[in-house]
Amino acid sequence: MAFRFIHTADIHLDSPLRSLAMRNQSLAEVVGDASRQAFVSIIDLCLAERVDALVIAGDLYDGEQTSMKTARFLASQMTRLHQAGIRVLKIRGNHDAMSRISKQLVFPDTVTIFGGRPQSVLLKSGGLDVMFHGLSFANPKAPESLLPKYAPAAEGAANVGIMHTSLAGSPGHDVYAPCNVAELHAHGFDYWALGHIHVRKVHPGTRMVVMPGMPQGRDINEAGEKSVTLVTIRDDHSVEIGERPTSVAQFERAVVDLNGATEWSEVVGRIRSALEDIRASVRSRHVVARLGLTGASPLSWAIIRDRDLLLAEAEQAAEQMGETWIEKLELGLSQPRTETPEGVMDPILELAESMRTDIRSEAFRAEARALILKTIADLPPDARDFAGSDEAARELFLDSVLASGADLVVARLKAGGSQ
Amino acid sequence: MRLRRLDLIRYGKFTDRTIDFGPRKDSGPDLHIVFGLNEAGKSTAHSGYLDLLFGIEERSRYNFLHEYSAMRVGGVLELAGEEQAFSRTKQRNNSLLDSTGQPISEIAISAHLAGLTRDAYRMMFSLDDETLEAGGKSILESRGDLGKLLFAASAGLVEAGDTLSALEAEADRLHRKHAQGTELAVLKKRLAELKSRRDSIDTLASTFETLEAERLDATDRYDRSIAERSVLSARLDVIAKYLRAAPILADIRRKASRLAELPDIASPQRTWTGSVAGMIDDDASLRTRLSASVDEIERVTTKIAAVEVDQTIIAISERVRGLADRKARYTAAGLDLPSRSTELQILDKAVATCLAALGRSSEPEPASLLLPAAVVGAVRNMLEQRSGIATSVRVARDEAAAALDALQAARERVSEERAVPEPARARLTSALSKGRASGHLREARSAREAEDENRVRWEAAISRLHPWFGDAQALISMQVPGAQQISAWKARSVERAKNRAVLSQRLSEFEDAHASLSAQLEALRASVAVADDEAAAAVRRARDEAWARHRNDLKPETADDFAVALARDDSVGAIRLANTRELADIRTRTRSLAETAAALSRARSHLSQIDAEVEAELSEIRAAAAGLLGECQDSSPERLIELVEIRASARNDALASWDQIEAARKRSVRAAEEADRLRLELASALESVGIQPDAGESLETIMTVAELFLDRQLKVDAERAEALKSVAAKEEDLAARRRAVDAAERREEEWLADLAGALKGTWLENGVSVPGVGNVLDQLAELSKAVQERDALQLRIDKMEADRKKFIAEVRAAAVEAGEAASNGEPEQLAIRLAERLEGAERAREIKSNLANDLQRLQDARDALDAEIAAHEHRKSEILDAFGVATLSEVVERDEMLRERDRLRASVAEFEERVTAELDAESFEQARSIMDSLDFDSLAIEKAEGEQRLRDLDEMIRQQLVRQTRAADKLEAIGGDSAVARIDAERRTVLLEIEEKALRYLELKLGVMSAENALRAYRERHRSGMMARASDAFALITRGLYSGLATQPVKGGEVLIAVQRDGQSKVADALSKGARFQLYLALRLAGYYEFARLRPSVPFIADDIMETFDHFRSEEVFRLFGQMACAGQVIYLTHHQHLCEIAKAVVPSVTIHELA
Repeated sequence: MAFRFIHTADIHLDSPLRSLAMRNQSLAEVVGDASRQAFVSIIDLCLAERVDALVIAGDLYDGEQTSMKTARFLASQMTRLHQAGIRVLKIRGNHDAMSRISKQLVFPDTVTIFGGRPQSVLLKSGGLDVMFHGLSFANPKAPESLLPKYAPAAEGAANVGIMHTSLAGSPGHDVYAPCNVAELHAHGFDYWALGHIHVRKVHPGTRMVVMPGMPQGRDINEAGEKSVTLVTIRDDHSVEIGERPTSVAQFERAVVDLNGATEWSEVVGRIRSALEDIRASVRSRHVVARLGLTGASPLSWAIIRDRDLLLAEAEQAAEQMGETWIEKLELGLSQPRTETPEGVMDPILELAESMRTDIRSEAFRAEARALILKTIADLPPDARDFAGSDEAARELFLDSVLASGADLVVARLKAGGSQ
Repeated sequence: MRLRRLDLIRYGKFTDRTIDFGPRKDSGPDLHIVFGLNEAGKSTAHSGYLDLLFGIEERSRYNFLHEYSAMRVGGVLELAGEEQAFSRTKQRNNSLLDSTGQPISEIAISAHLAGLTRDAYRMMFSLDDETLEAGGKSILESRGDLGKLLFAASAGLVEAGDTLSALEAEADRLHRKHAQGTELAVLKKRLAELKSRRDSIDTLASTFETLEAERLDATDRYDRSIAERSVLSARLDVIAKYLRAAPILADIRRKASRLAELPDIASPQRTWTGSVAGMIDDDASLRTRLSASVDEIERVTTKIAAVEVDQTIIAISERVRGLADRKARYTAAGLDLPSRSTELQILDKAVATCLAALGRSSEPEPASLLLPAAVVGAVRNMLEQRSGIATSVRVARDEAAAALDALQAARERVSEERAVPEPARARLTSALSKGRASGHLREARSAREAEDENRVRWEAAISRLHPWFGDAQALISMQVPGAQQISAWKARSVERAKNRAVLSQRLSEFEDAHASLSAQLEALRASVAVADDEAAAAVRRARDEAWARHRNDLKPETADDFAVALARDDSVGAIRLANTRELADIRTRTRSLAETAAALSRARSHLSQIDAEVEAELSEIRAAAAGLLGECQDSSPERLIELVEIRASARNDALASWDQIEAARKRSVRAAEEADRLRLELASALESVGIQPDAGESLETIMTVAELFLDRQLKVDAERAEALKSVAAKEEDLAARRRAVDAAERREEEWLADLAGALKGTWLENGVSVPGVGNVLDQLAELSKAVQERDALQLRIDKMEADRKKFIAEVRAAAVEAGEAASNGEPEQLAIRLAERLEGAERAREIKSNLANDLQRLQDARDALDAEIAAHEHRKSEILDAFGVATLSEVVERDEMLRERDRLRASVAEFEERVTAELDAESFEQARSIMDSLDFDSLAIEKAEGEQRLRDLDEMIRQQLVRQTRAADKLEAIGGDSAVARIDAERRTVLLEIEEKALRYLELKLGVMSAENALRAYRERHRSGMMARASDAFALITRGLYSGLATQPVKGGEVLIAVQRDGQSKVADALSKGARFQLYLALRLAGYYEFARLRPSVPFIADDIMETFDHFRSEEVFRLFGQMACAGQVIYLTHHQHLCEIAKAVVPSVTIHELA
């Protein structure tokens, strides 16, 4: 006999997808509640696998969530588990700590929510004792390691630790309950059910330390397949893990090399085959792709100019493939190098060169900065971050917007003149 | 770069068309005009030139004659002063080929184009009508912005300004401060909408708490109010019962006192039917009806006695009625009789006429003349057949006469022309067919053709043998080498050539090696001052000799010598030891040099041996083929062999042709002999049929004559046979006709006999002619009709007179019986009077009988009335007895009183029951005692208070229920659905869209800003050079109307103004259209100079841009082109002849190329 449970974290229930692909009503219809669908599929999986427990290692909610609808939905799903006799063990992460809705919810008694003080819960199944140790975030911030607060391993039972931690810190995440993987391995627990980092990772070592990743990515920065981890603890306390996909929609980047493409149809063809490759490799029902077009092509100006048209073509190709969606096109194209390096003779290129020089002039940059600030000030507060949230990021944004603006003008002059 | 030549090999309509622009002249302008009429292919050539430089376009339009795969354009370009030929095919890769057709890198051309792309080249260095027009427009639209104008002119991008404005407009569509309709504004609105939608359906956690508390409070209050209300409601029910029972009890008491006043007797048994009131009515009505009945009976009886009836006339009524009929007939006969007598006379006359026509006027009994119907029918039948029989006799006779005539004519036709006897004709036919069958003519012709043909071949072959000449015999006897001999020579020659090539190759290798080794050796020796082996040996020898001398002499001199020699040897040895490697090298190379020299001399001797063999071979060939070779002095064996082969083959051809000629001549002679023999035979055959052919006539003519004769004979035979056949037929025809005449005549005789038979036994038996029989029959028919009509009329007249007499007798008899005065005169009046009397008597009898019936009906009604009265009286006495009163009205009063009493009793009982039930008492007595104990005033107060309290409670319950339901509904409405999550998702997407649009806005705005800065920079860089040139050019083109161009600073830049001769200045948009074209042209020319100033020039091409220019301006433009052509090649394409003339006049050295 064995004890089996599903380990997940960072569900961020009802946190919306962030993608321009959602402009498409059809897609919005089917994945507008993707985090719910993923959560339902986790519950379905628990029922189908007849596991003993579901472990949620924090961030079930998104901090911004205040709707009681979310709570009601959660309660209904918990009831399903309760009726099947499946225990739920949950700690609160930094986002849960910010959330208000959990307080109002009354869960069935099969649901255990660990509090701000360390706590241990013993579960038995088929003669096997499993001790779950958990500790919730009481505040949204946790600058210190939580590991010293966890009890030592209980004798005669398998021990599972549940912790919400940023580990040693990772790019794109603030530090939360920092902790060292080696210490976790050394603590004596058979399995560490972690949460907080959205990318799945099994940390190698003497024991099992698993960051399960989130069950549903929300934007291109959370690309790739998302899953939960199915854990089996055998009688000898050895642990076996498996991965089960849960994402409804999957974000993917695709690089389309347009080197040497001279015909529009060829460009579309390459995009199509890149999409076909992605579609073939992705197991989630929906793929949301961000296409990066690179390489040197004589069509680069035409593509910059007619980006919307090309986007429409790509969307059409994706639509024909089915359940494939285009988020946006990122252009990183260049012209084939035919010019001799010195003596650029095309006045447009001379103009372009002049514009590139202009971009570096501080006077012009100051003017550009002023325009950006003025424009940003007119936008809703939630839509202001794209231009960079600090000084350095704003300068980077300025560089990129000036470069693409110059390209846009040159593309219009170039391509416009040839028609 | 310069275009030296353009080859339109397979391009557009062109195939192998070349435009040669010639080499660059040493001095003077390099100006070219390509002249071609419309559709001559000027644009094709222009495009071909660009395709040569940049590759044939992916979707070239110039494939309508040559497929893409076959398209090719070529040319010679002068690149950095050198001419290089290129050609271009339509391929993705390796499309540029060099002069040998090998693929060559694009750099070969692009390196000289200073980075120009196809588009840039076309825009910068080519001008046509459209670009000029657009350029003029751009000047107008740029409002003189100098930066834009200079840029437009040098880039050829006249729409640059438009493009920037379009981008600006695009940015404005995305966002403008405070604007409502921009895309960003719309998205912001959408965001606000989503927020309000979310707020409207979402429930926050805090709201949830409040709602739950509200729901619980409302439920509690509701429950409490419900309990209180139940108690109160029950008490009010009880009070209501008491109040309801009180009035009923009062009613009971009232009714009881009324009952006490009424009699307490039993009601009579009701044994009768119907109401008493009805009986009172019946009493009156029966009395009225009885008196009316008595009156009526009396009136009818009186009326019956007054009526009287005439019985006399009624007794003879049948006879009187019969008189009416008879009277009508009597009157009609009186009117009809006179006209009937007249008709009878007419008919008598008709009978007399018929008899007269038959010639039997005296006949007393006309009826006896009539024939029996059978006879008449038979005779009529026969008469109908008569005409057919007569016609057939006449026709048969006519046809017999015609047949006789035809026979006569046929007999005359036979015996006109007679044919030639058959044997003579047979001989002629045979001779003719032999002539036709013979192939001598064909044979002769083919022999001639063969001879001609072969003679031509013979001559051709002989000419190949030139300079030899002679006849066939000489040719046959000529000595020639055999084919084996020749191939042996050839094999040897090839072998030798191969050997020689190998040897030469080796020789030159050996020579190279020898030279190189010598040089290396030389160098080695020069570089190292080392004595070589020989020198070292010499030194050693010198040392040994010195030692030998010293040994002999042992003198100081010798010792010194030895010491010197020893020292030298040592030094040499030491040096050699130090340079052992170089020494070894020198040694090796010296050896190699010797080996190479030996190999060289071997190779040379081989070569000279081969040369000797060649000489020997040459003389052998000359000897063997002296005849063929003649005086040929060629020293190469290969060429000699080839010549021998050619001439031997020519000889063979000539001889073969000669044989053919001989054979053809023989065939020709044979054919002529055959023709003579046939002619003789035919001529004799013709004579035998009497035709004498001329001696000079050809065989063909004679054969034709014989054929014509035979054809004629065949026709004569056929005609005669036809005539004989015709005579026989006519004879048969005549015989048949005669038989037909006989038959017709016989039938006529039979008919006459039949007629006589039919008339036998009648009065017509004798003396009636056949034609008369018909008329007699007609008259007899007439007679028969007249006799019948006359007899019938006579009969009717007799009957009428009898009727008249009978009527008069009957009238008189009836009058006597009825007692009428029977006067003699008027039987009709008498009859009428009798009829009137009868009518009056019958009317009186009917009236009397009707009255008797009425009387009987009245008697019956009286009987029924009497019975009814008796029954009524019986019922009346029964009721009066029951109530014990005297009249029916008393009965009514008594009955009413008893009924009221009974109703009161029932009502009191029912009320008592209700009160008992209402108060839930066991008996009425108990109920009454409860009621008696109540204080109704205080009850009324309690009731009013209770009801008010109840209303208050109801209101409270309602309010709590609403509160509770509302809270519960709100809680329920929260639901677990994803509506809010979806709105959040949509809101997130809108935010992303806003970011995207804002980014796009910034890109556009900053791009345009940057482009405008760049244009200003462009102006700064190019302003001075271009302005000066453009100003000069503009002054020139406008022939001094404008003295030049100037600039004027304005806000944000500088504008271009044109300065007129009189000093007045005009901004660009004040210029005329033509002047704007010219200004643009001037700017473009300046742009070209600007380009050529810094880089190698490229050809400038203009395509008919002077449509709107007058003669003088065209001159000036060509003058400018001439100046430009000193800086680089200028090509002008036009279809105007006069422009060529102008150009020639202005730039005499211009080259004009016609594109036909």
